[in-house]
Amino acid sequence: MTDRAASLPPLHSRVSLWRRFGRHRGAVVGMVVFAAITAAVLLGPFVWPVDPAQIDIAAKNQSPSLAHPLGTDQLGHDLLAGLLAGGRVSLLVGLVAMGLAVGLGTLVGVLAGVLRHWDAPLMRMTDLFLSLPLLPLLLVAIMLWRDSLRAQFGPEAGIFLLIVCAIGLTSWMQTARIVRGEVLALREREFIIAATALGTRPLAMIRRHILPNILGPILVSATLGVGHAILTESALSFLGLGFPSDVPSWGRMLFDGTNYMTLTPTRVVWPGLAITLTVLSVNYLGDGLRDALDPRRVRGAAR
Amino acid sequence: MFTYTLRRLAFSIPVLLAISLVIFLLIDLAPNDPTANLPLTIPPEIREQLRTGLGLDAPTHVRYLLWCKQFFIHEPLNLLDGMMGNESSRLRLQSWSTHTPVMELIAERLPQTLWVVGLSLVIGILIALPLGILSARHQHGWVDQFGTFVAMLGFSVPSFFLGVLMIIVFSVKLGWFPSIYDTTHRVTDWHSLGVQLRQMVMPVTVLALFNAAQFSRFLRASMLETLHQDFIRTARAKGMSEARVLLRHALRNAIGPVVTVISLAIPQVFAGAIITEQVFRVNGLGQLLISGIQSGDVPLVQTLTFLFAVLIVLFNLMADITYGLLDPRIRYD
Repeated sequence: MTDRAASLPPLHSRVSLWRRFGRHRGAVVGMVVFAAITAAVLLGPFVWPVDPAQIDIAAKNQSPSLAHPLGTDQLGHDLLAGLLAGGRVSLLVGLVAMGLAVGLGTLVGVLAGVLRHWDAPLMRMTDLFLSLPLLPLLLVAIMLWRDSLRAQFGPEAGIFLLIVCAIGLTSWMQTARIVRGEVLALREREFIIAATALGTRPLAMIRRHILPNILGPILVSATLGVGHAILTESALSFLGLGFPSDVPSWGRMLFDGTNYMTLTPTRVVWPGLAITLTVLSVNYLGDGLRDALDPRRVRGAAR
Repeated sequence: MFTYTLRRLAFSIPVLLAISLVIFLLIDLAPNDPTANLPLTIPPEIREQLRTGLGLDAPTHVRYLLWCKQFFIHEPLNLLDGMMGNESSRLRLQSWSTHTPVMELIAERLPQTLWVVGLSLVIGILIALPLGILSARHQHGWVDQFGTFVAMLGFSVPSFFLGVLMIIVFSVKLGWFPSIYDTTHRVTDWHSLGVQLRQMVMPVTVLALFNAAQFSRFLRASMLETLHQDFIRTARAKGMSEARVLLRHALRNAIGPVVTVISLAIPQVFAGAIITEQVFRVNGLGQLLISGIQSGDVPLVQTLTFLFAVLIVLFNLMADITYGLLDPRIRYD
């Protein structure tokens, strides 16, 4: 289904935009939770300065205790430190992959909307991408490229680059469709026609008049895109084709934990909860943004 | 309508060919050596012969056309021969790791996946129907709030986490259901049927929950739109019972877009089954794909991926056609 989100209102109504956003309880809670998770993941190592890679075989498979608040795994890694480190990987993948997908989607959408004779081929390409079986292709791509990229860029950067590119290149289509629709609607507006009449060059037109006015929908799909990217990454890691155990993301921690779930079930629960909470908060945030940016929806909800 | 269907069917052939080419090139251009997993003691010239034996020395376009010939011409003809009871000797798509025809591997795994996916669709729809109708009838009521929350959970909880959680609670702690799906189990009497149902409960529930979340939201939106229309007010003014208004008048008008959404969602359910099968160790198509990927079995992976693409194109087509059939106001010609 195509999402109808209105363009960003003019400057003087920014205040009411905030108020509308603030009235959406779920969105505010979502924003707070997401900010808290980000802060915990970034500042956590200063509060809990345990090396997640430190092995302590004597203290393996422990239940939560004061020394290890979330317990330890089969090699005696501290799981709280691991969870914080894994969160940095997961969130970074989510943000960078979303940036790539939204950038690509915006580029394709704006090009298709502005250049008339590029519209049909670009949209056919988008349709083709939408009918590709993405999950199998992602798995295949990661399996086939993993070793050569790891050899080229080092074990951590290589797999990071591969996963971010794979997710980014396969999730730009929705953004492209939304952006194209917005640009097409915008093209009929008087101020664009006036700008054309004044002789504005195409690039300046896109930068000064089109992009600022479609910022709202782009922002919404960027927010929802973060959740999608984190979910995809953790699914890949769970299938054993994402991050390896030495650079664990939340998905990989969950995957590694499943073998020990009869012994220490909390090993599975914490990373899973972390993924769920992050995605849930981002989705609520995106929902609230969409409602705040689209005055029609708010009126519909108040009826 | 009929000519429209024919036109769409004809148009999907070049689309599928384009997709098959994209998939083939993606897999083919990647740096991958099928002999890399073999023991290191095999000398390089034998390795070269092995690669030649797999047909890897031919140029890319020749291998692509060969794959097309085997998939589009040989396999259907073999199927026909098989049905007539004839023995056929055409060259078939061979798996590199098991050296058996790919199609036989797929036919072996298909029933498990179809059962799980099919049941989860049916149960998802059965949950979504009352939830969507009641959410729309009492908008902002507690059913609606509950439905919104469940849908949000459905979109945000990863299926593998939900699956693993269910295993911890229901298999490890309570011991109600087996955590591993036994595909060699044969249903012969009531008792074995019970065992079969019990092992299907968890995989089906996980998938069904996601289906229900998605379908109920669309049904709610569609019902809301219908319930605000004049003919509903007329129906109520005539003194019809609420159930009749909802089911006869509103639902029939609202169900069209929802059927489209369900049809578009079916390929996604198959993709979701890849993950769910991995969680519950169901040896269906998803597990075949994963094991094929891990052993570098290119023909198997290529064929399976393409079959997933066929599913997507087919159900997109079906969505358009059923939309036209269910709503006579839609005219394609």
